[in-house]
Amino acid sequence: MSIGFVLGFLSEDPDGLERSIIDATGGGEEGEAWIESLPSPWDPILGWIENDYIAGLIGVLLSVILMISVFYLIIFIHKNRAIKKE
Amino acid sequence: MHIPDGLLDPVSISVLWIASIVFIMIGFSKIGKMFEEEDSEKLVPYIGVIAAVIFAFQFVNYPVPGGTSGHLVGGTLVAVILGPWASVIVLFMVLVVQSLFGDGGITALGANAFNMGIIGGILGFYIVKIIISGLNKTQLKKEVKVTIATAIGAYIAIILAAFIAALEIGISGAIPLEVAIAAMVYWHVLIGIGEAIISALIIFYIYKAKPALIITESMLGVTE
Repeated sequence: MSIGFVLGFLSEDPDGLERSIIDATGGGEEGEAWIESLPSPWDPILGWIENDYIAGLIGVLLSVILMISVFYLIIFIHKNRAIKKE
Repeated sequence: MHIPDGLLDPVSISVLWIASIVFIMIGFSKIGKMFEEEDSEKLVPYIGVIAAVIFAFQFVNYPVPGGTSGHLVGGTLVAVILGPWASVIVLFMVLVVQSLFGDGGITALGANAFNMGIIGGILGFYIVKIIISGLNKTQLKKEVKVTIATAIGAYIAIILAAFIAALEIGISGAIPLEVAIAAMVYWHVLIGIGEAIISALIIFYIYKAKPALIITESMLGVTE
């Protein structure tokens, strides 16, 4: 990620879905404004982070913590059920 | 391919949430059985790292000619490494984290999980399996078969996922169905090339570095 950002390999262009919507709703600024105006029931909790490095690091950390927690929970529930069956 | 909030209608959102939850619950059950067979103490942190890798790679948008960009979705990749049901759960968790940053909606989480985790992961896995069954008739080495199959499977799965996402957006009335399908499939025919290459490179690297990390060999039916 660091190399990509520094070398400018990464693209700031909208992804395929955003591009499809932008083009279908007027293209250019009009289309982008349309996407920005879509209603959302909440404000993203970490959406205020503007620095991509920090966002990436926090996201990686959260992913690891969340995933490990979920799978340990699966193991815990599975073992409990196995014990109850015995 | 992260659908934002406000694009899908309530019926589509509800149906896709229900479908995703059903698959996730089945996935939890299947994963529990997998942990019985594998060393779960080592497997759980490994899955956590895979999720982090997918998150990081989804952050990396590569340029695509025509003024758009693409990024690895990783559904098929995770399915080949950990199995199809693990990929549903991993992708869902990654999407949850991404929604915290505003990348993909929260009401649209069910739809995104369906497209990337179920279509990209489960369907992608079985496409890979079918391709491997054909490649088993060749003299290619095991890692080459899995790499080629992963590349093709990931490519097809991403286009299918884009098609399904277009159906969802079109049926919701956000943009005309024919426009949505044409645009989404067109762009993802290009974006999918990146998905195929990155997925193949990662799988090939894992095979060279530590093939034991690919725990789905028996499920994929790959032979020497």
